[in-house]
Amino acid sequence: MKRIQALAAAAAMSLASSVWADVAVIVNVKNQNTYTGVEQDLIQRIYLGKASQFPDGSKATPYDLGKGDASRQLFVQEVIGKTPSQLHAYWSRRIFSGKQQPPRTVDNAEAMKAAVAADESAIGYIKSTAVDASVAVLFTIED
Amino acid sequence: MRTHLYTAITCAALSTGAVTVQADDSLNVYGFVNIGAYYLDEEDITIESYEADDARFFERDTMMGLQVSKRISDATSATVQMTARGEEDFAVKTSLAFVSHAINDSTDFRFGRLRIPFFYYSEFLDVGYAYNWVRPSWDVYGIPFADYDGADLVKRFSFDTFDGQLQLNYGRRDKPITLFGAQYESELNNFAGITLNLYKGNFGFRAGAQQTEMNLDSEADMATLGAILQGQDPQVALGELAASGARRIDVAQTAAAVFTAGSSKSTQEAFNFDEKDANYYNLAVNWDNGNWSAMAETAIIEFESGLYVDNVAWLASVAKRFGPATVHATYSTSRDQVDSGDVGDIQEALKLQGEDETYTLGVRYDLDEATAFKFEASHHNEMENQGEPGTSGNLYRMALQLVF
Repeated sequence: MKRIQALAAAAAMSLASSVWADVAVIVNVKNQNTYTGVEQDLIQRIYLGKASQFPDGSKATPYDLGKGDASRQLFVQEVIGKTPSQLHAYWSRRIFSGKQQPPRTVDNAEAMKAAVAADESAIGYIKSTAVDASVAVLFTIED
Repeated sequence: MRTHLYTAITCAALSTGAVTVQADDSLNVYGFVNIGAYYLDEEDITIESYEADDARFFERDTMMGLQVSKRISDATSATVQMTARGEEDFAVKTSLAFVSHAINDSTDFRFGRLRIPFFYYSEFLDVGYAYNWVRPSWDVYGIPFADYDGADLVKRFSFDTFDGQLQLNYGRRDKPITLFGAQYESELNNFAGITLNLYKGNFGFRAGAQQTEMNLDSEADMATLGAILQGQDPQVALGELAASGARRIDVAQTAAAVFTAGSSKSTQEAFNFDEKDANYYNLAVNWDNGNWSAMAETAIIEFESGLYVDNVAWLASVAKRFGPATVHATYSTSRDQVDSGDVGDIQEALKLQGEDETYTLGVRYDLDEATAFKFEASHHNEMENQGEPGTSGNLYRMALQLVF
């Protein structure tokens, strides 16, 4: 029964075509910060390697999708506020000064969900249509 | 865009497919390549080592680097970076070789060969893709050595909406240095420094200080001093020494020995490079909102030795992005400042000081997410060069710079 509702919901959502491109920012289901929310500014700082903790002080480990991924384009533009080239230049500074490595990359939305589900400190993002109960959504970026 | 919170929508069954996360303990290989060419339209000036009509116009801005990192344990990793420069016939050098140990989530201890964090761009100075210029202004970044062997401690911290990083470094460098086209044996002992970076929103701030005890193998030419004692005119004798191809600092040290003959012992002893301190100070601010960016930086260098003149340099730059193109304009200047008192009088007599400024206009075009094409024109104005009025010239550069 639940499954039928879910399918119906998915069908209804598909009526708005743009919803397919929306991106959900996700964390592990055990992450306590889903109750209070996480500011977009903090997510930007976590993905830029400047901050490494959630608001409750727990460790934050960002996961990234590969270059060219459509969800990544939107995430980088809207949340990180840079072009992919600017982000790459930013990380080049940290990589080649030998100080930090960029966030780990995963291949696709399924791999992202698996990584976030397996790591309590994880934060990631996937296309909103790929969201399921294995992960908790912090917020959705509308295309 | 408003951010709002809701919990996971249960619109699909939980899927647990076999998926792979790129293993954290894998070998990470990174690299960078700069391919550049230049044209300088004035023969009477040398900007950095750019010279007019140089057949090596292609080698100056051409280099590559390869960096490999391997995680050894949860907290420890090893990194090696090798670089090869066109200017040095692509001889491979080790620019980084260190082991990094995470003391905790926010503190790293590194030891081995590291880059000296003099100024804002110093630790990634070779990585053209990382900034808008073909390379950062020589007015500020004209330090003839970049690495040291030692250790540093990097502590990252956050409070409220501020993030920061504090870096303490200590070590030494025992390798030849090339100054004014000549090589000197050198020992830089007790290389110690502190660097603070603060970030908030689009703003970044950096303050840093480094100090070292410099030893160079420069020396006064005894034959010339002997000839002067025998009654040869000092100007003629020193002129002959310079014309003989003697190293510039050796000539200056010989001249200083002549000029300080009647001076106090402390003045005489100022003009050598035996255990002489050098101090480097840096302040930088930058702002970047993704479309516009601006940065200003000042670098102050104080030399205890009278043979090297203190220097104050700064740059200011603004850039605007138009899609894949970023247009940027920069002013930079470098002013040598002679000491006060007797030492300064002798520095002026030695004609060691210089002053110049550079206006640069350029464009960076991002061909893809890892490759940039750059073109820039610089007007370089030498107000003073070795104590004499200088001239001006234009330098045009283009480069393809990429990272992988």
